[in-house]
Amino acid sequence: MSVRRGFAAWLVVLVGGAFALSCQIQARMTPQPKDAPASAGAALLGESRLGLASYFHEMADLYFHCGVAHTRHEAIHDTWFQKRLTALRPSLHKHADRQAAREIVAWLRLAATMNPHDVEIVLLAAFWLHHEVGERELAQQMLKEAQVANPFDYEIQMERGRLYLYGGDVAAARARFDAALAFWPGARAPDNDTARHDQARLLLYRSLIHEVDGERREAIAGLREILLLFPERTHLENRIATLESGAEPALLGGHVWNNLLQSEDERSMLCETDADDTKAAHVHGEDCRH
Amino acid sequence: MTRTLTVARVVWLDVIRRKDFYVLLILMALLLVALVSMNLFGLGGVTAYVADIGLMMSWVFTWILAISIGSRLLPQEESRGTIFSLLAKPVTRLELILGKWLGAWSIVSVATVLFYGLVFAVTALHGGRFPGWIVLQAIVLHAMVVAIVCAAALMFSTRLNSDAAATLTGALTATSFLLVPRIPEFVAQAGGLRGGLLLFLYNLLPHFEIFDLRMRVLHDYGAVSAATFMMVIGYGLLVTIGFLGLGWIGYRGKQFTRGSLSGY
Repeated sequence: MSVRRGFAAWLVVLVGGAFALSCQIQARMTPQPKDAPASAGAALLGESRLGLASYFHEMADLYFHCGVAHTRHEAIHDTWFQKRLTALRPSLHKHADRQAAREIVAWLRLAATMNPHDVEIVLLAAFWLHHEVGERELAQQMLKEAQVANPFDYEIQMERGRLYLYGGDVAAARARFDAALAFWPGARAPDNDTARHDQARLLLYRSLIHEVDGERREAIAGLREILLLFPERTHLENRIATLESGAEPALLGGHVWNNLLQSEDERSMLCETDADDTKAAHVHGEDCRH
Repeated sequence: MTRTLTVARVVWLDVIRRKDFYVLLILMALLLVALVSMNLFGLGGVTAYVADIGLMMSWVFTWILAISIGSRLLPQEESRGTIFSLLAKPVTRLELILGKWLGAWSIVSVATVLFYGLVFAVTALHGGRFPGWIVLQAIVLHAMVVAIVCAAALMFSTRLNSDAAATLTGALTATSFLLVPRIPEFVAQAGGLRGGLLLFLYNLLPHFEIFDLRMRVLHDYGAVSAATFMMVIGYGLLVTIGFLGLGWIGYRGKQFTRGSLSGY
């Protein structure tokens, strides 16, 4: 009997020890692979997370248009039901104000949580957080989180660099643009239009920072690279000539990138009206109602 | 009328005994607590997404509740054999169907009001504001959808067992929710016979999209005009009466035999 008791006690100790050891090993193991579900929620939802992300993204768009859905091409018109729908649903094409912008960010945040590998959603959320909600730090935080999920994505680095430039942190912006250039073109083909334009943007930002830092030779090299990509941008030749002559004050770089940041963001705010077939785009103002 | 109300009361007692919507209320509360506890960067006053997801879940929950209650009421009487004692009483089959429908509809409508109350209470607690009278219109139109779904479930259950009735009602109403509003768009891409079939379905199936005021509520567009509101209610009543009428036609000549009802 005492032998059995002793065996049972040893068994309990051994099992306890094995359990403690497995806990220790588990705690020291490397993190799980990138695409593995990182939470109970993610494991529970599985691939349906992608569908939910798409749904939340659509909701953000719907909130941007204050509940008005996009016009669809329909074969039948003015049925009794369609007339009632027109009367019941929001129909005035207007855009979100500052408070509504916070709601849009909430949807985008949910979408990014569901699919952290969709960089477009993260960039959109960062844009809204910075420009419409006025929370640059939160935009940076969101981009940092996206960087963990997409460590070699140049677009995230580029956007982070742009936000640092907005905040006047030139050194941090320089590091981010360097990283973006190193990661370029990422998943895109090098001859892809978007990738080429992005590379030119990065080179221009980088060149301007070189200029401000007094690195004239590097600044000129950057501009020449852009000219190789887009020979039609002949205005850059004048800029190169000015820099080569040493006549330009270094402070102009900062002025140029401020204009550049503003003009790029205005282009991001373009709205395509779907009320007509011309798809005319314009920048929305506070009084814009169509 | 009194007999119809008595049947409806028995439906209430049965559902309370089964604790059906207590479970759904708990689920709804858990969902909202989970949503509100999510920290979206600490952005204050962001509550519309909570209300939006909460209202969407209210629609889904009430849809499930309406189908599960509506489709089992008649088959349950038959499987228990209580249909014989029920029909031996001075209750016509039409009154039985109306009573069952009234009971199911009123239960799910009360659940709908509770769901809306819960959603807006949690939203208000976190800085959101009550959208006003439009919510009442939204609840009334939501209750109209519940009336249609309950009527459809009862109609199918007059000739099918509860599982089959629930499945068919689910398929019919889900198609109406998801497919019917987009048929005009699909017709543009489909030609000939397919287009004709789609148009036939467009005119045949119920249109639930005109009862959905969620976007109007959430984006504060104000109340709907009385004329439009009454027209939509009128349409809802017509569809409900249509389903109940078909159910009555299917039920009035139905023969019940002892011993052949165990499948229900």
